[in-house]
Amino acid sequence: MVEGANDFLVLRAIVIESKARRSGLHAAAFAGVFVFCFAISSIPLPSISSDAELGSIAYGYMGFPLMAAAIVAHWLENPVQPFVNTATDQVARSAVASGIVVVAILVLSSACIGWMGGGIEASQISLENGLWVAAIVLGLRRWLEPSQSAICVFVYGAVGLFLPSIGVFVINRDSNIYELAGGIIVIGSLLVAILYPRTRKFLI
Amino acid sequence: MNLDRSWVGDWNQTGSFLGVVGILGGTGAGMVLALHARRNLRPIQSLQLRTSPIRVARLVLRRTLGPSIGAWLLLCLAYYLVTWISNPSPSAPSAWPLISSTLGVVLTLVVGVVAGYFMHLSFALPAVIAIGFLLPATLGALEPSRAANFTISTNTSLEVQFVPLVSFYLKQGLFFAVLMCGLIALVSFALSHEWRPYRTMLIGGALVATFALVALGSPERIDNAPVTNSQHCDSRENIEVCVLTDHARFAPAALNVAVKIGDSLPPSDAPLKYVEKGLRIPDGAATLDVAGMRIDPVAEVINAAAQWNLCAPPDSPHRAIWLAHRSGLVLELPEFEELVALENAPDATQLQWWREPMTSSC
Repeated sequence: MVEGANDFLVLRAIVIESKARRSGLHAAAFAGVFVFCFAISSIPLPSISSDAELGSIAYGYMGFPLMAAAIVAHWLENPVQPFVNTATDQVARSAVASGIVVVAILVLSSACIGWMGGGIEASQISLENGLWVAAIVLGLRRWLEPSQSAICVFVYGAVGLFLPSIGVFVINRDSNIYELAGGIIVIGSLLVAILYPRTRKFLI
Repeated sequence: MNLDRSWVGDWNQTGSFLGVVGILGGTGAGMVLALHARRNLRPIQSLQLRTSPIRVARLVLRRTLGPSIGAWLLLCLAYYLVTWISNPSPSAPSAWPLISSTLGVVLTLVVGVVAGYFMHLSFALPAVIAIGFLLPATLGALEPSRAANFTISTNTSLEVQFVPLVSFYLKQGLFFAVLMCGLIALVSFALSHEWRPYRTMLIGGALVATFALVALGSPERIDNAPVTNSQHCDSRENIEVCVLTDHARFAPAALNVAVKIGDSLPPSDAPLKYVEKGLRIPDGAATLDVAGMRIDPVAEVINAAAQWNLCAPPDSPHRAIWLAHRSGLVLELPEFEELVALENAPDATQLQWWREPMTSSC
């Protein structure tokens, strides 16, 4: 088969897939969640002396990645499943592309919510949360259904409330440069792992 | 591990704490139920065509909601068992915090099933998170605690949970119950294809009326709570600390601080008796805040002594920190201008500053 025809088939498949995945519906849900979380994050909450972060959990900028993850995960539900039997580098490239889409949507929009609701500081926490939530969605895609990985994301959001004394779990309320770097490294390695045939089979 | 164990031994706090656990656990379970309802959509729809809606409802209750509600009740039992073992003689035990928490959790579970049944999961899961987690947590964090009527989330500004105000929990429970019944009624009408405008108006009216009743009532504070006589008192060197029996475990630490404060000031300048709100408070006693005792008994005793015998809020915000420093509980004073000047002043001037707001006539 000539190169051009192959590309045309892939393009056609993408169009069909995007219709089958009801992109309009997901975009509507996404917009609804964005507006809702922005509304919540713009309510000024008083800081509580005993646990200042408890209030911030309720902020839209914490809730946003939790809610958006479910939508994005469904939207990208097994996007390369039709091609998996004939796994080629092209499949890997499209998987990486879809991964970048997940990360970009979650990170940019949650950073945006954080910035609008609580300024630069909130924006950094939201950025981290967006990265880690995207990492959970990407990392678990092979193993769990989108709705099941959305529940895992909710658990990620909840542990910081229950186990605040364990440093690892405060990841969703506390922001520092190492956690940001950690999130970027985890997502980067997930994307790179998709490109190599040996590690690819565990991820897509 | 520094987990929040403040509910252990405190009966009414246990019920409230269960509500907070329920916000997270109930939302997680609601999401699973939404997934379950979505998956079984076709079988349930085909069953609906063949049998009566009541049988379908019974099936959903038994197979979907039943196990989750059962798990919740088991969790409650475990929490109360721990509380009962650590404090068999509570001050003012009440079932109301548990009832309103349970109603709130069941409401979240029902929302999960209904959302899963009627919406695509891309809408249903975010809806469950929004209704089950984000809204209650936000409302619970708002000050004043008027909005607390609508949520089972608790925080330090909500002081009603220790000596339960029945009217508060009644209104809260009523709100959850009416919301839940309204939701179930709307869904059952929609499923049985018997949509009648007057029924819908009736349900809508009930919802609006409950909302207004709960919203318009004044926020409930501990000051309105009934007084109980069930107390635990510790005393040493003429100084006595009386707390609710639920808070008996904090009494030794509180007494230690009270004695240190008593030693650092002349007898007439420091309270001899500290009594927790919710108990009968004799003349001349300092009052301890119930929520504050649970969070930090040491800080609460210092605050109570700093506010003792004041007619109006003091001009200086530094009384408590000055007292903590004087009684040896804080080694270094923060560098506020007023405090630095006081630290360098002679003892008589310092005591004069301390007495000044107390001597003003009410």
